[in-house]
Amino acid sequence: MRRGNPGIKIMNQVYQLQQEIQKFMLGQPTELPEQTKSELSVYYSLVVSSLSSLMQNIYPLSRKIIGEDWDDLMRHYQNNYPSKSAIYNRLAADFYKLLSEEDLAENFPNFLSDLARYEWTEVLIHNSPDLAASSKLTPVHKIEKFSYPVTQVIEYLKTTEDDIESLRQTDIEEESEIVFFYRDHESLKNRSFVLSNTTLFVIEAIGSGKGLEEIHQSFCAHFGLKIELSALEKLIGDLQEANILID
Amino acid sequence: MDKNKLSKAGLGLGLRRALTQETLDFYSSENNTGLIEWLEIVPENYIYLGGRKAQQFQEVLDSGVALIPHGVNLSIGTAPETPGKPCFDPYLIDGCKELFQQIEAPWFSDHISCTRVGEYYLQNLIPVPMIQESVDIIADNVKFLQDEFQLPFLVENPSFYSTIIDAEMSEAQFINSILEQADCGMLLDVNNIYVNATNHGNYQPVEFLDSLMLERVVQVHIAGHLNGYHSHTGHKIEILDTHGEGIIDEVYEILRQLLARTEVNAILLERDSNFPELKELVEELKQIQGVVARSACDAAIQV
Repeated sequence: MRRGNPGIKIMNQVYQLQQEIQKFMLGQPTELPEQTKSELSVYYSLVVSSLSSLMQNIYPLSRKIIGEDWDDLMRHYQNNYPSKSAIYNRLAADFYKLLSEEDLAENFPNFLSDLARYEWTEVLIHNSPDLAASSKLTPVHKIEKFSYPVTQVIEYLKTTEDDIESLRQTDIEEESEIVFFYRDHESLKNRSFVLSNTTLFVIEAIGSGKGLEEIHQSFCAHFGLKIELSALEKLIGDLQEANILID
Repeated sequence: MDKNKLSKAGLGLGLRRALTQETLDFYSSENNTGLIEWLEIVPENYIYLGGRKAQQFQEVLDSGVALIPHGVNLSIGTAPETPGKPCFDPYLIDGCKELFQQIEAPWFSDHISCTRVGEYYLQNLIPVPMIQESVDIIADNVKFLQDEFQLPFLVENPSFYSTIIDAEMSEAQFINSILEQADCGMLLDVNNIYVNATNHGNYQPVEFLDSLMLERVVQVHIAGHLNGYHSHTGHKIEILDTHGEGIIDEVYEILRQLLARTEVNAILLERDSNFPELKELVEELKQIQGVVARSACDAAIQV
């Protein structure tokens, strides 16, 4: 079947064709022959279908909230957030960015982007390559600041048997939450906990290589508090016990 | 490329996370009577590992099973912006290089397809037009990879649902030209022969075998497929290459016909989705083993 490709030799024809194929796979208008576009629709459908399976595994709670809009979102994501990584599940990295897009965000509860970012961070920590420790902090970790109490939302979603339709249509009050995600270097399991501002300060100070007395001084100066060194030692002991600090 | 200089790996199975432990248990068991002699790994799933995944992979390495890599994202069909200057993803190349050394890979392979355009991955095996320019591009890319890794490379015949533009040559001519120009080996997927023969109706599987440079076939893939598929726009194809179903008799027959014509170094049962219990795959491996044994007998009788 002729497809209108000219009989004369075009320099770099394959390169140009692949640019057009890329546009097609990203849902953009292309100059490909109609027959080719029809055939390539098989690939587009397969890609969106695989993407949907991958994203449901990575974002099970966000999926619950999104409900029937899921398939449209997958096509939107395929068209607008192409992956630059050969490693397949990294394709899912930008989902929270999509959920923050202004015209999309208004269709969903205000905490959804935070929820997706939380779910992605867990995957990121689980899949992170092993890293050499650069301080006393456990090497595979990430500190994320959320605008909403995302851990409470997660707890609710994991435990509730109720219909979540009401939550799907409900905005919640803004309340920032800082979460420390890490991979326990002994059990290799993911762990996370909500940080207070004071614990965050201590963790960041340890991460920057400061010693106990230096941290004590800067802590008191920063928060305008006078605390005993032993209180700080107790906190550090707790962090060691949780394998957040390593020897 | 002389396949007689490469090792004989025998019969193997794809290592997939869903079945890793069962596969290793079977590999070490008395029931493994030459059914699983090696495992194929998709390198993109085993580079830059950490944590539990690294630990699980170490268990695979410790089992002593031979591993052979088969990629999906090297994208040997990607045309470089400047003709003649192959352009690969350095992150992937570096990761693969480390992995291939670690597992002492005897060779590596990927599909005749394009999975990356520029910096973006397309997440599927997009076909390349069957024209001389594609042959030049793929041959340049394969030569680059063979130099870079210092390992033999095998190109796999893909299933395809589009030729993109009018082909200048037949599928077999296209593959042969690549094999010759790149001086590489071939990974022949016998299910893909059946899928393409059915979907495009251009040839009979045996004719296709007879028109290929079979002396270059180092490794074989055998898998199942799904009948009937239509895209979101309604485009219909007869068979979808899923690797998610059992192998049909017609595909076993293509394997038999192939082995009647040439010896190969390795045969792999490829299962990538819709995983059954391992015992079902073991039954398929037994059937493949039977085909191999019958072919050996036939060959002996002919001698």
